[in-house]
Amino acid sequence: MNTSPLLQCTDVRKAFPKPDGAELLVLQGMNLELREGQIVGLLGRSGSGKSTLLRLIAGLSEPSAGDLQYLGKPIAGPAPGIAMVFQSFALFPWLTVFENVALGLEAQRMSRAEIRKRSLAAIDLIGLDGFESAYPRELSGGMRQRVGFARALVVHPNILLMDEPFSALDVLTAETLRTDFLDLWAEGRMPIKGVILVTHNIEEAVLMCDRVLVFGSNPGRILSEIKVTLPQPRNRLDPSFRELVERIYVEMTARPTGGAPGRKENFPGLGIGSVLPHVSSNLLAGLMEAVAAPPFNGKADLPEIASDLTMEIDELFPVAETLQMLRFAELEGGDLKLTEDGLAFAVQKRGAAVELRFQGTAK
Amino acid sequence: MKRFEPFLILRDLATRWDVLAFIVVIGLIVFLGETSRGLFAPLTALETTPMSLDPLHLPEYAARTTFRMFAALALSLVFTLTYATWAAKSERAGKLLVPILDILQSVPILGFISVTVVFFMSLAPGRVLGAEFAAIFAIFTSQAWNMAFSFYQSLRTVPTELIEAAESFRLSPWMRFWQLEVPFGMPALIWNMMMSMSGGWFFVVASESISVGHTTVALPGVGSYIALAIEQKNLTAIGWAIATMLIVILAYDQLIFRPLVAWVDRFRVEQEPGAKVPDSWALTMFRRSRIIQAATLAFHAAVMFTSRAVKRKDEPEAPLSVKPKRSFDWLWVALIVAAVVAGLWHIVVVLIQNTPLREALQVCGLATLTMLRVFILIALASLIWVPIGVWVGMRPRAAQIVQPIAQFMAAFPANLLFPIAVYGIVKWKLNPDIYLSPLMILGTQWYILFNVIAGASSIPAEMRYVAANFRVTGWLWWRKVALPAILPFYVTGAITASGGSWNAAIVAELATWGDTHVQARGLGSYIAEATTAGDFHRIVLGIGTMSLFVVVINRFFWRPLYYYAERKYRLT
Repeated sequence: MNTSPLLQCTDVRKAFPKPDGAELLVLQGMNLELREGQIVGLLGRSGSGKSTLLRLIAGLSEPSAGDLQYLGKPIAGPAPGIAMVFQSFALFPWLTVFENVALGLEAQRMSRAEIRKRSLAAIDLIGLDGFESAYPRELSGGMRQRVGFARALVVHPNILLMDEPFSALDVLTAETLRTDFLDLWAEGRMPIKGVILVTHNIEEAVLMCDRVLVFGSNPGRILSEIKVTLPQPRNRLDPSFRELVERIYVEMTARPTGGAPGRKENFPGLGIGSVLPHVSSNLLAGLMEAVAAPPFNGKADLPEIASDLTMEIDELFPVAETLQMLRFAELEGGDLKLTEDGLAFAVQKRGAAVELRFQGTAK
Repeated sequence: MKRFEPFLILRDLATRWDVLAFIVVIGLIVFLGETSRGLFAPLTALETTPMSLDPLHLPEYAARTTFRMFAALALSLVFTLTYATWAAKSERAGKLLVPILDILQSVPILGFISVTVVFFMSLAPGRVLGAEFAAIFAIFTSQAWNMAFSFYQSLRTVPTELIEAAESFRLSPWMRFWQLEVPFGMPALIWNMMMSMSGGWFFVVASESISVGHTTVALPGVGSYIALAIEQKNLTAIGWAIATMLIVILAYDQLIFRPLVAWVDRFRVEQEPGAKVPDSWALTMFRRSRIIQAATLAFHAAVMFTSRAVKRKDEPEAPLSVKPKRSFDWLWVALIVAAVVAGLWHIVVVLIQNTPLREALQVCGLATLTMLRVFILIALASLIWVPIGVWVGMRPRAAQIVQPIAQFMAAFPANLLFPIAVYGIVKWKLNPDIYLSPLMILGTQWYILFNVIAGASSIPAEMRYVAANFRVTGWLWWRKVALPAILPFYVTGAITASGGSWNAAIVAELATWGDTHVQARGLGSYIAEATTAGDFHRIVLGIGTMSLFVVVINRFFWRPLYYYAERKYRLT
């Protein structure tokens, strides 16, 4: 195997100017290496800078500092060997499936016959045979994302960048597409050498990636790197799979050990300069009630309650952290445990609800 | 029980917002009284106090003109709320009323003036009022049709759930109208009112300084001032008029339309999250002022009172499906047939009998010339403004600066600049057939620009990333990304620009500077000439032909293009 990396990011930093002249730091001290045959997952919640990093790699924006190298050469603008799949599909509604796929080849000024051959091959490979002349609006979400994949693969990229490609799809469609993708990857039928996958779904990361980089926010940085050595195809119910998921949950809720100076990732207390998440009071009360109720009885395993409430970590974590900030709950070791105050609140609330119901029947 | 508190509303009378609001309201009342005082004066009063080019008179003239504009706007609003509602509510009436509106929309505005002025003068013989009526009616015709159309469309697209909710609460039709339908149609209506205002300004000269055949009336106002300045070849006075118009347009934009647009935002049914909420200092003033609050409370009370007074629907007596009454249908059809026959008879007797075939052919030829001009100009304007608009639209900061300027330019009556053009044409002996043409699109090209800007800025960021990621650049980028993305917006702009240019043809193809007349061959100058000569048959023939051309072009070119663009290229 080739020893030089496909992609190398060293000490990348990205900041945006704010209207008041100060700067908003979104990425700091980012080091990343992608080698041939690897799928690397960037896992974190929104605002952790993972999508920003992806855009830097794609050459769609420039880093404020640091170095990004593709095949040993610095990235300046969109590189020919890096293609991207977007969360919202980003298909052109006025182009047919074929024309959407062919667009990247047309930009390379390829001959008409060659464009046709390669586009049809990509469409065929991704399972869209027969839909060449359909318009995107005539396709389901899953089919549209297949077009997104075909469009990226047709240019024969070395690196495929995927920006939460399955998160706009329903659960079943997403699963089918994931499995199809992994099959093609395992069989080596895709012309790609390495993949970077941005996701906020822990199970998805463990299912698909060889390495998972866990991102922290404010500013975005890598908290830890987790190697996934389970053989493909992976089974979600396999104990070692569950164990890894659990470990990442623990990793993501761990109290900061160092981190960026002056910033605190979790909120044992409320430090000056912590960024408050937007959380509705309904969600706070709802989560407390859910944790207080059986089968959790005041202490819930995060992956369990996440799947129980069908909440993504993106939604769950801010709520859990706010509860911790208000000292209604403790967040540690991948568990959410209600404090006495939290339990009292949940009991009171249930009592009030019972009383209301009683009044309703009395009338 | 709430305790009655006297002065609750007026408790903090003296907030600074109140002071501002007081000045505005009282100023408005004084202005209304002042400007309407002359209405009942005999026509001869106009001769004893002739127009003056002294710029000191301009504020008064501007006030009078603005008064006419708003009187017409109020009329248009009444017309909209009745006509459009009738058309939308009654299946039978709608079949006839909607096409009528469509035709009315395509009749050149100046056409209405020349035809109706005699009628209005006879309403109040020998008084200024008659001429005022004619002028206001002319402005009304530039505003009413598209407002009515927009409201009709809103009425037809009220979301089914809201209608069902209103029905399940058994709202009376009256309540449903004020609580659901009017608020729902408001945003589109306000937007159309703004557009209409701009259209009205364009014809201010023609509507105030009326001369049909032997009847010549110059109502005091900015329009007459400009007409006089043109007659006396006074370029300085034109400059003063332009400055006045700038101030007036800026003032009503800030005081009337900005607040309306900001206020009406609450009636939008589909709120896109993150969309910028329009903001207006004047609205803040009105909202914080207790006096204005008291006034709106009164309006609210009136709505509540009438809602209670009008009986709401009782339990459904009849089964839900009411059989249409056959006899009434027949009556309706008979009425329409009678109207059509009468109309046809008039056209045959008055128009066709008095028109030699050669004349008719000549008019058609002239119309073709004007059509050619309009299309070439739209194409030229597109070549210039589409690339600029896309460039600006892709840069949010630039768009923020350019967008209001473009909208302002569209509101500015471009015919104020005509004298300068005529001056140039005469001086350098240019060919008027070519060099008068750009005047037609001077005021309407901006619709293309700001629609394209809106289109380009609505391209989602991810789509731009796709283009960049696959390195789609140059002509390929224009062909596959930019042009398709803006097409629906562009077509909307081009339709507006084209309609406006046809209207402007009458003013632009025959331009005057003192005793110099510069004329381009076309239908516009034909109508203008006929109007000056007071030749009724030729006026009607010219206007009829122009309406026909506009209707046909709309039906067979713009409308299919619009639906095609909407269907295929709309980003959703």
